[in-house]
Amino acid sequence: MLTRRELRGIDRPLLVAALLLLAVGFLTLYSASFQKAQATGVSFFTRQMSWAAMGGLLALLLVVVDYHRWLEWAYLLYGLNLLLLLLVLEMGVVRGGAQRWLTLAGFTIQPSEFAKVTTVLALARYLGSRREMVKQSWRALIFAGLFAAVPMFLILREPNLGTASVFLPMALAMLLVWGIRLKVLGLLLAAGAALVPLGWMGLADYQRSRLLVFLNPNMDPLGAGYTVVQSRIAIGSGGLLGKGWLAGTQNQLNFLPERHTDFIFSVVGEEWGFLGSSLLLGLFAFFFYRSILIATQTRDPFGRLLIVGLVALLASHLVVNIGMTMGLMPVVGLPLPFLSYGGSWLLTCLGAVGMILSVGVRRPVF
Amino acid sequence: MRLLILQRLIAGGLILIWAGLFTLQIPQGGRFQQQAEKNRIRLIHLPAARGAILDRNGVPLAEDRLSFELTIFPQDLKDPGQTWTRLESLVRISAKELSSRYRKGYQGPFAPVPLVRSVPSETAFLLEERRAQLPGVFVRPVPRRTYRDGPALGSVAGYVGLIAPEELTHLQSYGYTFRDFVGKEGLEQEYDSVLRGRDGGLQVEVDNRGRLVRQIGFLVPQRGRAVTTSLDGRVQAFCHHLLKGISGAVVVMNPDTGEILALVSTPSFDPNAFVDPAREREVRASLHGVERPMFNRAVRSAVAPGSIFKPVVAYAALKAGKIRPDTIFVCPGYFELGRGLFHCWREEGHGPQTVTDALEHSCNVFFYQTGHRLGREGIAQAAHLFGLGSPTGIDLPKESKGFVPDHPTSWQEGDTISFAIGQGPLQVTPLQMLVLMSVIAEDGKVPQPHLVTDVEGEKGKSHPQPARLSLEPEPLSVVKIGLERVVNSPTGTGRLAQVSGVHAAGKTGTAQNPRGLPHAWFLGYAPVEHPKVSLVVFLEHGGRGGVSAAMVARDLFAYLKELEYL
Repeated sequence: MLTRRELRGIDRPLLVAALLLLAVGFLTLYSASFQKAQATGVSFFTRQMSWAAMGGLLALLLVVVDYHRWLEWAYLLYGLNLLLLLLVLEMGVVRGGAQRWLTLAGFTIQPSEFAKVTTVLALARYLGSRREMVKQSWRALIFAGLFAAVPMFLILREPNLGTASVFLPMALAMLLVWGIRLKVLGLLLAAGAALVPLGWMGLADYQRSRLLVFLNPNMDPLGAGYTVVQSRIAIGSGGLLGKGWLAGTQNQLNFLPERHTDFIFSVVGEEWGFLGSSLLLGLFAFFFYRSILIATQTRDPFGRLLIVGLVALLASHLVVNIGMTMGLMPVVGLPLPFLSYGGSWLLTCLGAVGMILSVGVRRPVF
Repeated sequence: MRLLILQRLIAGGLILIWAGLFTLQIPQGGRFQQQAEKNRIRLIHLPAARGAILDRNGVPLAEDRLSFELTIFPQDLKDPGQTWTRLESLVRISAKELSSRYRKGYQGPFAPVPLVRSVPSETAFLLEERRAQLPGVFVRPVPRRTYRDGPALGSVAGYVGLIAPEELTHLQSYGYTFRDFVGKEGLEQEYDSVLRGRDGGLQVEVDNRGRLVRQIGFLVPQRGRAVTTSLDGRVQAFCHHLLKGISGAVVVMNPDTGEILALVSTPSFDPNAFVDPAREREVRASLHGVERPMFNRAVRSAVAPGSIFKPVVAYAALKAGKIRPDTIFVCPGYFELGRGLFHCWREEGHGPQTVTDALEHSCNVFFYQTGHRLGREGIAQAAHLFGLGSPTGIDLPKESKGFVPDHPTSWQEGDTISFAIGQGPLQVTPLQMLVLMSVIAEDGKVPQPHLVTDVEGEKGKSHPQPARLSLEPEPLSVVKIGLERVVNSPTGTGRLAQVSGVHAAGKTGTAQNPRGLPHAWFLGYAPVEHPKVSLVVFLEHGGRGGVSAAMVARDLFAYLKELEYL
């Protein structure tokens, strides 16, 4: 448990940044969904509120309890999560051709979201306790690789290419900071690039079409490319200052499919313009900067690896998600941290904040 | 330190995104603003009315009537919960159901959501009166397909439904879109390109809340064209009534012109159900019912004809000289061929029979002998001569061509014997048999059976001129004498079809089949001297043709006389 004095040592700038991101998320979600809520009574906004409340409690719990406790349980949590992923494949809810959800006690959850965090925990525990193995990088690499590969494989089977692929930057960042030889890392990346054509053959049709349409969205402007074309129009038409909150025509006139989930950044771009979007990016940059600062200051290798994994996770989501709304990345269905609607994802983000703060509170104060 | 590398990687990613954002919003911003403006123009779809299907007296069998559709305009809807409770008592649909329909149909603030496809006019007026209390609720007139006497018409008219995705792929190039209603089955399908109108639309500009700012363009919807059929709605209804509770088909035709007076297949379906969302369950039952209501038995059911095939064999044998009008075969009730024994339907036998006797009594043994002399090829040739094995070309979709055993892989003499009495692999449709009977009635003139006689805006719908078969008059007249006696002789198998004042000829059939009771057939025409009407009655598993089918034919002859067709 924490003493009051320790709690005062909480990293306030990071906390504020996270709260601001959450606030921007709610403003944007309101704009993206209030018309539907008024019309039909289905409010994404209020649902997200209750998820946020739950996420807040989770974050508090994670801050108050020493994160070493979670690391002790890391393998157990990881194993349980794998079990959930298996359950999804067995009896999950099918939506839009993919089986990604589980219904538990009335809640629909997406275990692949939680798997991101439990894998970070398991990797942090494994790598953190094996400093002496740095020289035998290959063996460590194989084990670390397995930690990431098993959930990846299960998630690919759902199928969910986007979520599965995010495990790669996450694991690579942790290996990098852990101290893997750069030569080995380089070889690994080269081998990965060589395997790309093989991966193409393993893709489902819809995934291939998404990648092809990414290369040329106008190939199918009414089908798979529609979302990207409309999203680019939305962001581009925001101009320097944006059209104002609740006033984006692309958003309000229903031209943006998925605008409350994966394409929520299009609403930001349209209504807040270049200025507002830049501020949002700045806020994210600050959030990552503070997190890495904590990782630098802590002397605990577990805590550092934990933060690195979480930061890499959130940052790759951010880059891929915004990139895809602008047509710079293929549409792979990765949500935007703190902004995209979705309970499991919001819990994951707030849980990540809680863990980073938890490492922060326990770093040596000087 | 390694953390610094990570930090730089993340910074690099963010800068990349930021640069992308810059190019999209600043240098290209103007172009995208224009595109977004264009997106504010909305198209409101205005459906065109479909052309009517008329009967020979100009009575509409199918037409688009205006019905009142209850629609919600989301942008004007103030308090959904209260609106549903107020509507509940007016339209007699639970508030919960209304709310769920609305949620399912909601697309955007501007797009109207249809809640109830058709409300009675009194309700429509009531709703109009209370408009002030019900903001966002509108009643708008929309064309809706209506079939007078739906179940009687289903098999011939078909129905309309939303275009199916697989249909769209090959109809797209003809200007069809996903929201189009298209004709499916029957006349609705066959004449879809004539009946369907051209949908119109309203181009409007809307503001960022989806509210209408101004109207930009208007394309008037164009009504589809009407088709006139040779059907008589009364005869059609009567035939449907005669087949109540039975699976089968009845077709009535003018043997001279090929105009069809009635074409009924049962069990049928009500095409009105297909345009009424509330009758979805009925539609599903129709589409997947084991009784196959969507299957038009008159043109698609290919089955053994049984004894109604005998006139063909008789004509062919007479013409080929294999028998003469006075050739006599004695029927002891069976026929021996090698080690096989083939029975007549009458166990004690018919005794000595000429060809006319044999037709009158439908004696199997006579035709076993005749068929034996004629051989498989002779019978098959005759079947083709009278049009079996090819579709009749009636203007209905999915007509079956039946089957004539031309190149059988294994064939024995016994098969020829069965073939001669219309059993075995031979398969015919009721309509094919009707044409066959009409050819005999008209001394070789082959009518082209058709339903549509006139298309609005086209001068005189032309049908191929009746072809003429060069039938030998003498054999034909012998066959016709036999057919006349079937109905009019006190010992004729079709005597139950007799109606006073109608001089009819015909042939009964009882076709054995492996799945249960035999199929009952009656094939006939009247009056014998100058045929005005020919008809076919086909009852699936209907038992004896001389009983069940002949009785249907009798009622039909009587009714046609009442309507002065005879």
